[in-house]
Amino acid sequence: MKRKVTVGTILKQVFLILWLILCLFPLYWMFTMSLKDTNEIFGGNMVGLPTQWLWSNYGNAWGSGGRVSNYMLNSVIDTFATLIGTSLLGYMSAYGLLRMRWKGQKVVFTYILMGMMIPMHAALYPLTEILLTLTKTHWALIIPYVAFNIPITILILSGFIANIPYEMEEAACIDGSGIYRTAFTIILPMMVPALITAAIFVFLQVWNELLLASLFTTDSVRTLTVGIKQMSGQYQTDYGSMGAGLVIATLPTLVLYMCMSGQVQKSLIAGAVKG
Amino acid sequence: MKKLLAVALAVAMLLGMVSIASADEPVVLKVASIWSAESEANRAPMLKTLEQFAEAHPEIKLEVEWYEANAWKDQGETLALSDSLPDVFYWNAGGVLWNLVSSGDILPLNDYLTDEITDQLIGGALANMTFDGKVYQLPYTNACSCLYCNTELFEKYGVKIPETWDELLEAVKAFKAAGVTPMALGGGDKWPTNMYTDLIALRFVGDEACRACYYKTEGATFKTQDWVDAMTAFKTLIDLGAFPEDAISLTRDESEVPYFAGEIPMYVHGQWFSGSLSPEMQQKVKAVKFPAVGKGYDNQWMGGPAEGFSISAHTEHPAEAFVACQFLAQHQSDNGFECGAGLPAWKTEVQCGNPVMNQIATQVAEGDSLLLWGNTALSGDDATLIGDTVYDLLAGKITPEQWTEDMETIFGK
Amino acid sequence: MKRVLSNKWNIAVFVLPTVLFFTYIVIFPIFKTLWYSLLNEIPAKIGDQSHFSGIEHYITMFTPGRRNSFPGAVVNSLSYAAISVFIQLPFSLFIALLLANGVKGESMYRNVFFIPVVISSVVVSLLWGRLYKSLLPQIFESLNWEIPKNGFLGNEQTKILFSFIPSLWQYVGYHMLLMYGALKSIPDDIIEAATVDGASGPMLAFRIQIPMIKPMLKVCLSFSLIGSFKLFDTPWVLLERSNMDLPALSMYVEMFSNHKYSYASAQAIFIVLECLVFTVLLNVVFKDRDGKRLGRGKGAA
Repeated sequence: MKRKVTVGTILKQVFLILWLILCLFPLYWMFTMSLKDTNEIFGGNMVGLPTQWLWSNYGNAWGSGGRVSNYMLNSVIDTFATLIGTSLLGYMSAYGLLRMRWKGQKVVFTYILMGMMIPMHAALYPLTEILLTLTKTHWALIIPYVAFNIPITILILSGFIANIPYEMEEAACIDGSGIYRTAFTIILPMMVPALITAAIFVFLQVWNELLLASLFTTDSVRTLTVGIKQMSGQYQTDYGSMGAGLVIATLPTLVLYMCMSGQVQKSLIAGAVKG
Repeated sequence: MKKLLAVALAVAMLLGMVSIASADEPVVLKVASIWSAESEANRAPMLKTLEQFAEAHPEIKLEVEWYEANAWKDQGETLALSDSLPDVFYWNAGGVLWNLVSSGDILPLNDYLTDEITDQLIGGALANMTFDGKVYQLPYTNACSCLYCNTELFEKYGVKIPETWDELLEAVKAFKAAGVTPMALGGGDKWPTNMYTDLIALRFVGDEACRACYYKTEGATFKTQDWVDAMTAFKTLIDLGAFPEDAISLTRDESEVPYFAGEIPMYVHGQWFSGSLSPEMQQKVKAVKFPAVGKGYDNQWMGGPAEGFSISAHTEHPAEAFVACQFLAQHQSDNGFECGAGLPAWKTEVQCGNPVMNQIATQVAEGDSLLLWGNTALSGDDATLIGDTVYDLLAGKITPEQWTEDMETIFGK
Repeated sequence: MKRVLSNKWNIAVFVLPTVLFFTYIVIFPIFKTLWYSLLNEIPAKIGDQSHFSGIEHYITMFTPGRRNSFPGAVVNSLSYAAISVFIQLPFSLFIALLLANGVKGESMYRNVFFIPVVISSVVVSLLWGRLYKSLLPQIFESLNWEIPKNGFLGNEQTKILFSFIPSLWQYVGYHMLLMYGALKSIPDDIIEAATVDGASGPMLAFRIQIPMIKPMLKVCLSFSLIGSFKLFDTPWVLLERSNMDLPALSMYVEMFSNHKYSYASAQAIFIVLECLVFTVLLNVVFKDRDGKRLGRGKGAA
């Protein structure tokens, strides 16, 4: 298909470039803000590149001032623990609900899917009753995160698992494998793309979560989202350090995304199509 | 049989070891404190207090969790509902304290308070934390609010530091004409606006009537001409452009930035603000009593011991918790005063290195009375309401008359 | 094999832990919230004075009164939904179509447009907040446009709208990607056949492409609507303390500042009902044949 350069093509490109700028500008701004000192940020040089590159702002945010390093560690722990939880419980229950045969499996499946409609806010107060004794630990967040993300995990897995023929189980049975071996050593490896897809969805939900994180954490287990919000109060006088904190908070996901962008996009589409 | 005996012996030895070990182990107390941010004036003194405690009481170990003040307000009451408050924790006094007291979550301290201890407190220290004769909190600071004036700016523009309301209006107009924003205000957080409105109300309405309203006593009412005059006076300040254009969306921290930078000459705020000033600013700033209005209420102050440390009613170690609570309160009072983060609530020989704090201490000592701020004396949605109504006033959404009508609803319950 | 797959113990091991856990953390709490919303106040707070009060709170929520901001909050959430459905989604669709139909730099654009989605919403809010306070006023001034009184986030009329923008901006990429994926999966021969028949540009889009991605459009609509009613993060960071102009914010303030737990529970249940109602409406509009594919999502908007 020959592509003629028409007025249409040029207009399209202009439009796309404008939106591109709008998408990237806040990031650029965040990055330059993190390296400026307060005067430049306030008046002198709002849009341009910093005249002096104040890497010290990063030291502030990372270390004792901003404690971003602690918060990030907590976020990493919470998110990965949640992913392990949702993957394990999600896979096992998906297997039980969709591969095994028993009366009522459809009902239970629908029951869990209905749970997807319940936003965490609606269960907020009763959750505080259950979880407040755990606030000093990571469990206060991991437990609700896993519970509320199990439905979407199972939903995504369900789409993929349907494509695996029962021949696999039959062959395994003939070979003498018990159900556990079959589920974990034969079927599970085939589900890895599905698990990754589900993990990506859950990651995006959990890494960014603000409401529960702000209620159920004390300083030692605080996550990045809450830490950043808190930091914005602390650093009213020092926007440079705040910017640095924001950059540090954003960099991991950004880098992860850039490395995996193909996979992430594919997964998201696949997940939504099955959903 | 031999095996069984051996196992039994091992278990007995283990148990023995455990009980010996626990006899020596320190009692662990959970403590909640605000001032999680480095920039908080009270943080450094608190860290010092904790060090002093560790030295003085090795038999008690404190596990401290730090919170941001607003977040702790939200979390604390919810922890109370599930009986999971820490053993010792920071809390406000007044109606905010009453909320927890009335649901049985705070330990009364009378059994532990000896005369020797209470003698060390300043006069009236326990006023806002005593209900029905029982004491529920020990204060670490005496609070009050005043007007902070940047003398450098006043001199630069030839403005007189106001002592009367009219002079205040003149000062506002003069600064405005010179292109300077006269007063700082973090309207987005709501309670900084209460700092202004409470003092203005005090001048126009008087301690007695304000106190009746904030403590919801029989016969109290907001619907008087005095209250309307007070809020109209506040509105005058707004209309003259005393506050920044976007004051209503600024947080307290944001609003203080231009003041620290020497761009805004006046700020009405609590005594803790003097501790946030840099050493150079401390030389330039003068803290003065809020201007006089001439109705006889001019030597009255807002404040009083309004915050302290309380003990959870469900603590397992009340005796140790009291030791900790009393130590923290008294030493934080000293340490805080020393570095200018607050006024002392306990008698002290400590000197304060902050000239601004000293100014405040001398003036408030000569004051006629101290009244707790509305948003601390009231509680629950009454407290939220007094924040919302002044917010609406600042936004120009309601008139002074409507303000009094809205506030009057707190009596309808 | 059937025996193995139907073994009751095995099934229990696989399924029961999850079901129990899920029920305890998700289902019981939601029913507890429902129960609390029907009491005058929860027992933990007022002891024996707690009693059943039926739909009293639900009526209070909607009783007009100057101090009652909940009806306004619901209207605001519907406004957000409307903006999302009628402006954000068509915009995403437009970009998706442009990209799917082939332009130079297609994959680069696709990758970049998705970047806002992976940034934390707190970061997005804070960045936009800074923009509102520094850069945007400058831009307005240089264009000689009037800046709203009290600033973009302070002005009563504009602050809600401006608090929506960051999250609308953030999720354009999300919807765009989903639609793009669906467009790309339309079989090529259908497109070719249509092009040969002379269809191109808008006609191709409206007659062929859009109808063929209806299921995905439904998914996007669903995410968008549910997200609108739940919206919390961005406005909470950007608006003033204890703002109650959106349902989720109102619920939060009633619960943690005013300590009216039953009333807050009623508001929470209302939010769930809003989501339920619109999901049902969506199903009716899209007349879905397959009962399971109701496209409910956790809500990005």
